[in-house]
Amino acid sequence: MRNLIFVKSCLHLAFLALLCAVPQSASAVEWSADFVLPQLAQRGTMVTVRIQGSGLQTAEEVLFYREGIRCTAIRQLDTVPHSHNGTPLKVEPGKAIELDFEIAPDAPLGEYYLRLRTKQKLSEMLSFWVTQFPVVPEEHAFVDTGETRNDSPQYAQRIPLNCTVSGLGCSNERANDWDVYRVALTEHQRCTCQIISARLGTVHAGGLTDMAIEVRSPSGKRVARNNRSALFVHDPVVSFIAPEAGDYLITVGQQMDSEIRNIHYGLHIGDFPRPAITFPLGGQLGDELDLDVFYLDGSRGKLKAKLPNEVAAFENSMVELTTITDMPEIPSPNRFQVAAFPSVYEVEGHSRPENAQTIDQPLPVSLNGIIRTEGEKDWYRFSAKKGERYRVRVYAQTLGSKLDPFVWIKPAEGNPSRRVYEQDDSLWDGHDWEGHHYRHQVKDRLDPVFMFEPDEDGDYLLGIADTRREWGDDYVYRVELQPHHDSVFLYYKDYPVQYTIMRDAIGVHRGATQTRPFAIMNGFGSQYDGPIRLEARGLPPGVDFDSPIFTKNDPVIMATFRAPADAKLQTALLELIPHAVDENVNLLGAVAQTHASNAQRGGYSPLFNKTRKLGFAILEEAPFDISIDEPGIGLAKNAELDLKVNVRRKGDFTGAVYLEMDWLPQGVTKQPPLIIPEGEDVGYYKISATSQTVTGNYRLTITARENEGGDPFTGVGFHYIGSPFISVEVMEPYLQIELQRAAVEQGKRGELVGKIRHLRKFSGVATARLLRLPNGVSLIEEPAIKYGQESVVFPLKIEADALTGQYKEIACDVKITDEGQDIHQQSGSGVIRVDEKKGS
Amino acid sequence: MSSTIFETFRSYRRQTVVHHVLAIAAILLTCLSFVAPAVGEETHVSFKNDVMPVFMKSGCNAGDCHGSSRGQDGFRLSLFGYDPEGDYYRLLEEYPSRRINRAEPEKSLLLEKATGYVSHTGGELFTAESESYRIILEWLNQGAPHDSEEAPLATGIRFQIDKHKFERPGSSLAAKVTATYTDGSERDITRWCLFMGSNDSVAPINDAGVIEAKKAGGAHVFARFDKFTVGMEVTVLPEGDFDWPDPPTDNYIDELVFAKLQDMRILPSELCSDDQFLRRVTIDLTGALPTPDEYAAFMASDDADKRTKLIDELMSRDAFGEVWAARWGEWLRIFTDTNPERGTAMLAGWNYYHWIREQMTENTRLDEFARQLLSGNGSNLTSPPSNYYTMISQGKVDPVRLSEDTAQIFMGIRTQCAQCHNHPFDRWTMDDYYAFQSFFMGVRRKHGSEAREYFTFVDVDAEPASHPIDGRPMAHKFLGGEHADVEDKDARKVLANWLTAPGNTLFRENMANRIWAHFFGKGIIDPVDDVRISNPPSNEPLMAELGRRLAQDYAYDQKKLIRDICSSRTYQLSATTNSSNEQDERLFSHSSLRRMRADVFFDCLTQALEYKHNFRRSSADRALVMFEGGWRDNFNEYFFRTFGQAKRESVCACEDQTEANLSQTLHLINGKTIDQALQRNPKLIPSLLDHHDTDGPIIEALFIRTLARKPSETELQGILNTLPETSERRTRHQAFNNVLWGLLNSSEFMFNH
Repeated sequence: MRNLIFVKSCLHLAFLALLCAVPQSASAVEWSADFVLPQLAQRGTMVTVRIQGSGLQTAEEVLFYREGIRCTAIRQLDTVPHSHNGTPLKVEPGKAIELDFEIAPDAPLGEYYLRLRTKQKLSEMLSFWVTQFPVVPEEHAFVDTGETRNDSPQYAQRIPLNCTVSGLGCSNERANDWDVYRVALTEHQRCTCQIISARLGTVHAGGLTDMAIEVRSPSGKRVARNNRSALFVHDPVVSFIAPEAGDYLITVGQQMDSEIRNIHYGLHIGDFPRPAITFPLGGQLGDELDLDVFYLDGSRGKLKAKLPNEVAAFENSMVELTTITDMPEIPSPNRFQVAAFPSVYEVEGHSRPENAQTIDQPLPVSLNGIIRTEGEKDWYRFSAKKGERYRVRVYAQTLGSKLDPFVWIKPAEGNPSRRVYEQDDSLWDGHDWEGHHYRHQVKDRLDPVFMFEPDEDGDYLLGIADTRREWGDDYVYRVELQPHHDSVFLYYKDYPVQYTIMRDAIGVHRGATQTRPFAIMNGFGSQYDGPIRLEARGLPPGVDFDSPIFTKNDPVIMATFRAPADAKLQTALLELIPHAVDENVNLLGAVAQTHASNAQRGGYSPLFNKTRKLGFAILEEAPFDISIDEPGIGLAKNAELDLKVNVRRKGDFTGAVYLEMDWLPQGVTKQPPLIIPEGEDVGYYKISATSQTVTGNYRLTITARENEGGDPFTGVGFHYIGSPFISVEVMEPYLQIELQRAAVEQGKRGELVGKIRHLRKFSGVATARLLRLPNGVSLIEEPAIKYGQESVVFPLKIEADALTGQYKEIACDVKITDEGQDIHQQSGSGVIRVDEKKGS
Repeated sequence: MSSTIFETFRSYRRQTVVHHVLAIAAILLTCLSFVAPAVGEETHVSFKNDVMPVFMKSGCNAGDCHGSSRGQDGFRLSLFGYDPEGDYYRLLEEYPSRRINRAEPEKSLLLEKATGYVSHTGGELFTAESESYRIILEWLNQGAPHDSEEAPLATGIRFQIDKHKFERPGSSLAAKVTATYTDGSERDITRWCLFMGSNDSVAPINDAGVIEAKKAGGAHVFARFDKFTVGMEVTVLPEGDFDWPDPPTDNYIDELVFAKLQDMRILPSELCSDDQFLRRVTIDLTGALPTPDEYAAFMASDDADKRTKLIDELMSRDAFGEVWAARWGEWLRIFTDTNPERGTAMLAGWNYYHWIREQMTENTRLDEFARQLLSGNGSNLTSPPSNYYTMISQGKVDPVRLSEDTAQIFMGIRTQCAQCHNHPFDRWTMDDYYAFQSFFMGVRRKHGSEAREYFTFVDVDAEPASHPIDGRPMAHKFLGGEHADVEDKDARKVLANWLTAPGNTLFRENMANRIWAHFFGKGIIDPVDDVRISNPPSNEPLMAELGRRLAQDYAYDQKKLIRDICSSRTYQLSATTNSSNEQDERLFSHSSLRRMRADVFFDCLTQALEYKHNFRRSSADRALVMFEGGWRDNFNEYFFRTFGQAKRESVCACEDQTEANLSQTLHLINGKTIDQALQRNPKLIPSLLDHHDTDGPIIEALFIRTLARKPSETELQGILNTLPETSERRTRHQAFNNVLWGLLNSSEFMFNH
């Protein structure tokens, strides 16, 4: 809210135009789909949105991750509006498109993940939001007249109650920009203002979105202010009862000076109720409950809830509060946990172990209570049996409670067990997701999760408190002692260079193969370590899916997808379900994929999307295809193997091709990426096995892309093609050579003898040479070795000026030709002593 | 540890005793009055009470001898004897029979080294005829016993008199120090004390405790024995007649300051002029220069109470709170990193600063402010006071740093020395140190809802700190106070309540002293965060009264104390000195020249130039309100570094450096700060040229907006004589640029006076 005098100089405008002509990301990285604007729309309407990115000339389809929105048209754009004054700015072809989204009247409210499919690529994940309110665009600063608009109370933009403002904060011109809105309220009318900004994920890099809201009454008194909320973390929300009638000023903006620009936000302003939390936070399937509701405006109320009779697995056991009560729909409603087992409610007066509240029913069960006083500890007593396994999972922060729970279980008096459990926070696997332990820190992880495995029959005491000794009526908790199920999750393996964050979707080119390694993660407390197979659900017709059986020897499971040459270009949502090979084993599993969709700095991503389904697309034919010849022989330990890679070029593509293996068994190493030069069709990719490699048959593939013309980080501009699997057997070496110690003399000839131990039969004649010989010592002739031969002699020539001394680590390289293929194998560790010439 | 005092300490220890007559007489007198058991008789010699004082007096356990952390030449004693048990072990048991020879005690290495009979790096410390030798020999003859548990322990020491006034330079006094013991006994321990002085040019004290009055002035001398240090105030009056003119006083501050001055025979300066007062108080209270309009209004007013009214008006501005927020931002070390993995996130620092700013602009009581900080809990992003625990020690919770910095921030006490040994120049022992550290042992930190967010909380069941020597758990104990009841309580809250209790002189006097130092450039105890026995207040009654008023009369409303200070004649004295106070730098007999803080100076420069400076990545309009300090403005980082803006690497008040140096002058002359403002889109001179046809009024306007005064006739004529005789606007513009440049480069502009 500052008066800023806008100087309308030509120079200034030119500078602005320059700034705004580039995509609105602060990063220089080129994305397929950088952002979508506007990013929210009202249910039951048609909205035209704009997507900017790269290579959009062939945009054909939008893949939504849930139903409710349909893309009905796509048009190319050659200009985009200036973000502040709407002036058309020219853009290069393929940099911007316009799409019509038809939002169904019954479309669920909230966030919709989407990807854009062009003929060449399935884009990064974007986010679009549906609101029940009419969307009102912000009248940006500097519109038309060059005067400030809504950045001061004087120019506050009048908006109706119950609307969603689509706004833009932190313009290019200033470090901090505040937008002011004016809304009329009657006395005692409720008003809720709720921001979506960080969750929009518009800004990809360069800063973080941290908005704040402040509301002032007609008499100038501040009635509400918020910069973070227990419900939405980064995105603030306020709710208040109007103390007087009149116009209220609502100010929103980035809460601190910011380097980032063009922070988009949605601002819901309405008289809708905003529950902060309910008690209880969950219930049993089919229950009818009376909920105590704590509203953000400070009031309290009751709601009747009818819980569903069944819920899905994992996080889908949480339902939205508005779906189980008669509360009207609100943006971003509270969630409510539903379980198959009964609930127990706290009875006051159980703050010490000796008066712990006794739980009569057997486990599993949930415990529901509130930490109301400073330092309060709630104690429960229950029985458990040796050998049972429970996942103790606390729901507090996860569901918007302010409580930072700390939970412990210890044996009650008389129970001989000495096992004590204490847990404050949790890791990702406790929530059936994967993520970086630090960068992906979220409030859910403040809720403890741990396995309770009683080692004695008897009574146990469970206690819960707030870690920070904070308290309040809205410090609500629900502790579930859940029956345990073994589970397995998978997600994109992210370490290979080619698998950048933007390759978090599967795009299979017609008539080609796409290869993906998936990391396997054991579910929380899971003890299953048997073989696993993958099942793919949701693939378009004709697409072949192949995946070797996963064993516990490697944390990665491979998968290939191959589309027929005549497949229809289309998208799909793919489910990959891991199963135990043994059908009698009840193993739960799913994809647990996180997508960094939002502002990042230093690799830190405060918000990200999580999906159990993978974006999949069939793309147009790529300009090349690849394959690997099945090797006629195996890969011996301590040996190398050249894999012959074939490039089949199509059309007029003659460029160089870049190849790299995404995955190899543990102990097998690979060469640096292979580049098959322009115009050539064959290359050899060398792999080698250490002595530690586990022998066996492995199925390998290789991934190729053009060597240039794209962005190696985002993948934009490249076609990624995988080869079909080949089988490579890692086997024991053919022979071992034990080199003997040798003493030689300057200026004379000498020899080094090696004793041979044959481990595998080979045909033909092998040759051997010595490695790491000292200066002045050379091998006169590479000796030949035949199968069965017991020793080999290496004739040596020692120069007169050879350096004297003792030299270790002399090795020999044996070249064996088998099945027409050369195999190099290293062996031995010898010692040569070079003496001075006698008499010298 | 103050290196200056430490050097003094060492030099005295090594100094050859001045054998003048008075000193000998004093020693003889001291020996006669020694009530300790006479050595050589059938009397038990105590290891702790008799032998260890010999070590200290002889310098054996000093830091540069065997008291160093690694000892010296293979033998280590605890520094200044903080660990008698360890010293006894190392003497007798570390290498049995090496250092002590029970069969032939006089052949003990201990004695042979000390007397120089065997080669000794430290040289000869005493002779075989000395009392030190006889004490140790007697102890050895008795079998070198350790003290029984019933053996009395020293409980304190005191000078026989706690202040002395020399009527003129040239005389001397033999001080006497007495120790009291747990059994109620007393001993004259003068000859076993180490002595040092605060002002050797006025009143040095020698090894024997003889104080010499060298020249007129004030000083303190100190004695150290065992773990105790005591001080004695010494005044040396000037020669000649002295008539106290009984200058008028405006409040209790003047009465206390003038009483001291009268005592010291120093005359205060005259009252400063109105324009001097206007500039001084405006800079001090708002960090800005008075505007030309404010100057005109103030100078034109004939209201007898206009100075007090100006003080009240200035204190009502937000800028007043911002001045103090900037100071607290440095003392509390608001320092952030864009990468939260390396330090505290910027958002936390931003919210912390704005919370502090709000406390200052809304004049939150200082005790409440301190309580909120010390009790800070929860999220660093939503509960700003909790940043007290994430800013002081970033990266991880560190009870050592938290306890040390808390003592320094709120009590001005530097306890660091006592981490490893009893404080050599103060009363703090290792027991005090670790018992105080216990208050922070339960502080915990964890990640919150995102990687930038930390939750600070307290484990009320945390174990207290343990003593590093013997592993004893050190029950929570207030510094210089009692043990605290912290059972099932947040120990920090208990500490905060004790700290901010109205009767706690440590807190209230430190807060008052920090406020005082802001307005005088020097604390009554100086530095403000180095409170110790060996650094006493320059005016003890004044210090006590300011603290009492702040806490008890004003309920920690700092504005009320600041009003007293600014309204006092003492604050409003001229910087022009007289013959009696020209040497005074401690007793506030005149206003001192104070170079402006870096951020205030930068803001005054831009204000005088009417130049809008754009701080990089900031919406701030002044350096003073940059949340991490002006130096984080990359555009002008060099300026702030050169002018000594606090880097916030520690909580030390010394980080804010306000001394003037050549680099600053060169930067103003050659650097871009002034030049850029004069050259880029200048508004000031063109505006003055538009409004004035003649040169005189323009010169006067430039003087007023830079120095808050009109030029003298000499100055005016001098400048007019340098101006080109032309009406050509561009030439005149350049000429007045030069005048303004000259004013801004004057020391009168750079200093508050």
